[in-house]
Amino acid sequence: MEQQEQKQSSMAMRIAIAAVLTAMTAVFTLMVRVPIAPTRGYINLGDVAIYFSAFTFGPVTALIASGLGTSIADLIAGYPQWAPITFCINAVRGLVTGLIIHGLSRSSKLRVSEQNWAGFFSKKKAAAAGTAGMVIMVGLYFLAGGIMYGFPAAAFEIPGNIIQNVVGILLGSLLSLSVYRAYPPVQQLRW
Amino acid sequence: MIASWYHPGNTVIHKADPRIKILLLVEVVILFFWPTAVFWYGLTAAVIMFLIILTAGLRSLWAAVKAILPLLVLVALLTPLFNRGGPALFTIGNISVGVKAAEETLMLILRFTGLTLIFYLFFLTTDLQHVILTLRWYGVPYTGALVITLAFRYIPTIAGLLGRVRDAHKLRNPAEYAAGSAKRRGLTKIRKFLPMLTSVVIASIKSIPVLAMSLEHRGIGSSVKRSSYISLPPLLHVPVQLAAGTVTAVLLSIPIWI
Amino acid sequence: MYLYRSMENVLQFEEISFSYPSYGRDPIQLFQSLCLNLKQGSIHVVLGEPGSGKSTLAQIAAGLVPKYTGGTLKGRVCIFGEELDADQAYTLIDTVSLVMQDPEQQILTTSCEEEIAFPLESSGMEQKEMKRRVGDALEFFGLSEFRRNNPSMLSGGEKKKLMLAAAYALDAPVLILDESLEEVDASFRAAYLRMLQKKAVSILYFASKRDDILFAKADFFSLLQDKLIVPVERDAEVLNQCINIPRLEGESHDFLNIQDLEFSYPEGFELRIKKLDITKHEITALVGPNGSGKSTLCKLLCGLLAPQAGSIRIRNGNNWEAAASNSLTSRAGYMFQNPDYQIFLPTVDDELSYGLRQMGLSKDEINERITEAKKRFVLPEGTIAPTVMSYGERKQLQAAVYYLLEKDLYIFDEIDSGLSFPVIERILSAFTRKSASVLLITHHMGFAQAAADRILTMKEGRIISDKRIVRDNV
Repeated sequence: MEQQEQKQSSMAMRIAIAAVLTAMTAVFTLMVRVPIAPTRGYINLGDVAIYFSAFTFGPVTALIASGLGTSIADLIAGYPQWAPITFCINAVRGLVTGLIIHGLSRSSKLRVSEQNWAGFFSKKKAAAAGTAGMVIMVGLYFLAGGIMYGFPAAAFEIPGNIIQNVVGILLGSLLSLSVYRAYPPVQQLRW
Repeated sequence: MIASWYHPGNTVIHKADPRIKILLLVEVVILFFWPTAVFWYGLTAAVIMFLIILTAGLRSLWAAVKAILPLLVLVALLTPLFNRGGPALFTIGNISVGVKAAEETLMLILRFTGLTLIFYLFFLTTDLQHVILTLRWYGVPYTGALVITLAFRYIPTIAGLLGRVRDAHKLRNPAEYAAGSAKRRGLTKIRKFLPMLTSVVIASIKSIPVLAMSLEHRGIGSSVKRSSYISLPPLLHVPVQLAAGTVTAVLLSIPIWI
Repeated sequence: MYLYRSMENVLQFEEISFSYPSYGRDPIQLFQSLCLNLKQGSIHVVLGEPGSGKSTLAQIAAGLVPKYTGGTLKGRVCIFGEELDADQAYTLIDTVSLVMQDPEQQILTTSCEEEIAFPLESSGMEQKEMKRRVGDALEFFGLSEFRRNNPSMLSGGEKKKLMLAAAYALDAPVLILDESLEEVDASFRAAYLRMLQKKAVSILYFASKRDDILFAKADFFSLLQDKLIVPVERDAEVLNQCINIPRLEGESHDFLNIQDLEFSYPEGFELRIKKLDITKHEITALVGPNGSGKSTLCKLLCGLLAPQAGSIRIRNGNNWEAAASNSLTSRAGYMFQNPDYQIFLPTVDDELSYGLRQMGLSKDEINERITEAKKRFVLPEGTIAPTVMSYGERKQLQAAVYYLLEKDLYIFDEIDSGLSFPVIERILSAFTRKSASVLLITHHMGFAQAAADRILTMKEGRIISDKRIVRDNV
């Protein structure tokens, strides 16, 4: 047996990545909560985890981690009625954001340049991905809320959701960079 | 913190087959979006409330309602504002609330309450294991179910990690985390979390290959067909439940074809 | 003695050389042309210091390293004469069972019965047979009452038994145990080994300390040292039993005083300390079983928890002042057993200078202190990321970080677990000239007696004994 690189394509590895990131997203969503509007409850750092997964890993991982992580958080926190909707909205958000950042490439050899993020992901792409994510999330929650309990009340949440997203994009991208710099092997875990 | 909403019990609903329950759940959800008289919404919601009291007690019902009360109040206040016109039902000071507005408000309140409560009823009477078995029966692949159960296994671990990392960072840099600095606004407040979150994320990510090793060692990846330690009985083995479920489904659909 | 005498080797390591990925520095060779044979039906104990590579070797045998860790592996592993195909490690499920050192790393489910059933499901076993085996395993290991419980609610010893139960239910002929019998009660250990011998299971056991029950039953002994395996005799004095921690220099004097301290957790645990004085220039060991309140007391000393009654006071000159939580947090350093909780920067220098920059020192001053710390704690040069350093190196970095923060109280949580004696000596010796107090939390009275000047024993939330001792450097 000669040299062996880490095999990110093994089924066990893929499941492990998805599961741990899902759990992490759920914990971020549950553990740091600030109650703002009476409607959905709180702004939380779940968005940070969602954008982090999209930036660091890939579209598929982000889809699973974001969708499952946030809906599991809803179940645990006592908002089961939201779980299916949360799953769909955040799964789409994770997927779209991941696709914008990484495209369809499966390349795992990415390099980070110290001065700017080019090579890992460009600031433009990050902004585009973040905006797309925000539009999806705010828009779809407004739509879902509107159908369930009326558009006037649903509109109430919009400012809170926007704040949550902006925090999520900023902190999520900074976190992604910070983790990559401190723990280079993370780049081998993309699938 | 892994508080799931499952309330152990021995009622009929607890023992009902979860596959049937989930279909009935979907039917109720559809019902609440069906354009029909508000009366049906009210009736269904009342029945669900009654069932919740029966299976889990008044306190559980109150907990469920309490969580959405602020939202319901908001709906009650805002909806009439956007639904002016038409004959007035009653007047508060200078503001008159129309019949149409009241109806619309009531419908929305009942809709959201009904949706919330049917989900509560389902999760109050079905434990996680059975929820996952049901999903698998309906076609969710085993790997999906495995990711979900693993996530539940890791959530408490990572939550504990978060607490310890917070402590470790506090000890290392007490000024940053001193109580009272929580009111800082803007980007600085956010950036303060960065070192702590980085440590949490890295520690979590480091557990990925370890988990993968355990999974592979326990057979994941093998092409051998996996068996099930716990499984749901074939549907035909529970004819009583099937019959009861069908009857309930028909009853529920009355508002739809009236 | 083994009942089934056979010359057949069920597991063979042939000329194994391995190093983990290097990440920017010269690769450190863990094994060099190592050879080891496990004979059919025998119990073979491999002794090795913490950090010698026992767990890595165990995982190589199960085909998991380097698949999931990266690294360069040369040589081959043969199981029942056939070369191991690392691409399909899951095929070993019926042949080789590995029980890792830390149950946390292997637990996959949220109930004990599902945990035992998991590998059985993977092998496609029929449901009735699975139920029988799970029930059987739970009973043998005394875990039947925990059938539906979450494994996380079990004690350390019970978790280890649960992992052994999963291996037992699978009934594979080769068992690799990585310190798996530690914390398991002695009477059970004997029964367990007897059962395995009756079934003629071949066992490869990795150990870092003497275990009389196991050693009495084992057939072969080897030592893993200096990248090689060397056969040794049963009673060879091989593992370094001697630790030498210098005393702290300076006149000892009280600096922290606890009076009538009370703290309770909502779950019911109560801590009550009537009176306790912490002294500078003294090494105190805090000993006691799990759950006796050692870490709770330390968290109170660090200001991470606030007492519900009583006072903690700190001496300031000749006066005693009540210490607020903030004040305690800045004066105390708690080194968690896991050194990763506070690592987050890309290089060792970054980590070391992080705290110093907050202290308002000049750049030169900072560099000087960092250089001194790196030398004292033997930290690697260059730009290697701290997160990929070895466990021992990360522990040294953790200690160096707190050393530079000039704390008054340094608490080490289970420093004797997972580190070899030379590394422990290196870390604790560095604090000799600090004007501080050192508190060592440990399970092992032997370590406490060798390393500390004073031993506090705790039980059920109370201090039951407080003795100053003369160390035995044995």
